Amino acid sequence: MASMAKQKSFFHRAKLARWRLWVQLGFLLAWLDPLLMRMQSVCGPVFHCYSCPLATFACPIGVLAQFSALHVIPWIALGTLLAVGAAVGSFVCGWACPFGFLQDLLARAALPKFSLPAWTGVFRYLVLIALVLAVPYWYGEAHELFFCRLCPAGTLEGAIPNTAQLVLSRQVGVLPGATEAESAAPDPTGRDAAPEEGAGQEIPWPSRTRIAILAAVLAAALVTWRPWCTLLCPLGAIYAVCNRFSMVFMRFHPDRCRDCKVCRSLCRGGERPERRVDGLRCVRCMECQQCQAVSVATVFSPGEATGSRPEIQ
Amino acid sequence: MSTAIRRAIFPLLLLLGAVASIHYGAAYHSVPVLVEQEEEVEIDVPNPFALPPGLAPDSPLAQTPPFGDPSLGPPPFGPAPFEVPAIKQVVTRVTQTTKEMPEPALIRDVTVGGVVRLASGELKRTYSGDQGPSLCPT
Repeated sequence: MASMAKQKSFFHRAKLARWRLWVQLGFLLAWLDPLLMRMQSVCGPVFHCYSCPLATFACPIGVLAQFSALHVIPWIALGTLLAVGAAVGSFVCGWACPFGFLQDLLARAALPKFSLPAWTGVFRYLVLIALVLAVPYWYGEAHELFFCRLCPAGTLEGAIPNTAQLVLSRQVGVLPGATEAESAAPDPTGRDAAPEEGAGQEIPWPSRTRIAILAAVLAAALVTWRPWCTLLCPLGAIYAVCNRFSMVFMRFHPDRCRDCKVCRSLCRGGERPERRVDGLRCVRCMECQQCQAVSVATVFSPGEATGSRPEIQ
Repeated sequence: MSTAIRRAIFPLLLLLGAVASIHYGAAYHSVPVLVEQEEEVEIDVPNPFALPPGLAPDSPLAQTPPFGDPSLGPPPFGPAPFEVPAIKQVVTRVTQTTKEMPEPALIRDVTVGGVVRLASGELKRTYSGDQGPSLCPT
């Protein structure tokens, strides 16, 4: 019991949010395949495109969409999402997601900011149900509205680097993915490779729609906080549901509240922690923890699970 | 039962279910996938300079005694004056088989567009051999 109290006081005293940038940077390095392991058979917990030349794991949303197109139940992806969601909920979004990290960096630009209304978070569930599950299931992965064909993270991390790699390899006369020695080797099928075969290979440029979506998300990230996460991210939608029952959660202490509305002003997601501390748009960035009425707790911590001050307007 | 334990039961059960789901997917779940396999086989191609089948040394016509009289022995012209061997040629034969693909392998393959669903509902691998596509088709 004493250790629990000590843990609680540690969580409350330590302003963990100040470490968020470094934690995000550490996770980014982990997702960027530093050991060149390329573990694409394993589903990662964050939104990081598996087409990225530097992707360690497979993207869970990509796997969900692809398996939906194949009409196969993705047990591993579902289990991964459920395990992470049940353990920490959307802490992953705030502390580990590389695309969220990028938006956090863009949000540091000294531009006027505006916040989106909280109800816009519902769009994420539409994206999840329609583009990740329904369209692939009914129309297959070749459909233009297949999620991966529109995903801005896929465009930024997969399509653009891979296209650049193809363009560069054409300029130096080396086929993509092959060393110069391999390119110079005779064709194993016995065909005489035409001199222009490598150079004439069609380059799959990213579609204008993809580029436009990416540009819109990045531009919006300059003037509003995490537009992709709060408005459209299907992975965030799943983790947001898990916030309601995860083992680690944010706790609001009504007895410590002085109606100062500091927690509300600190929340960049537009949530109102004094009413519902684990709202659907909460990515658990822990900025609101600077207010003494909000703390991080686990299911084993003593006290009520959460609280609220609905009378505060 | 204390409040903490009561509150922890639901997430713990979910966590347990998640671990079971991952274990089932990784260890037991597999789906049948049509796989094309290429193998090189050596075949005999008829030589264009060989005798027609009816005149080959082992053909019935060549074994028939002259005028149908067995006492006259084999035909005087005997076996063909020369025998042209068949041409050996190595060709690539593509065979289609159904393989049970475990879910981790399926995850790896779908990330590069290596498996598609046919109109018949069957899953088919889009490449043959061990080397899959290097890029995602999207």
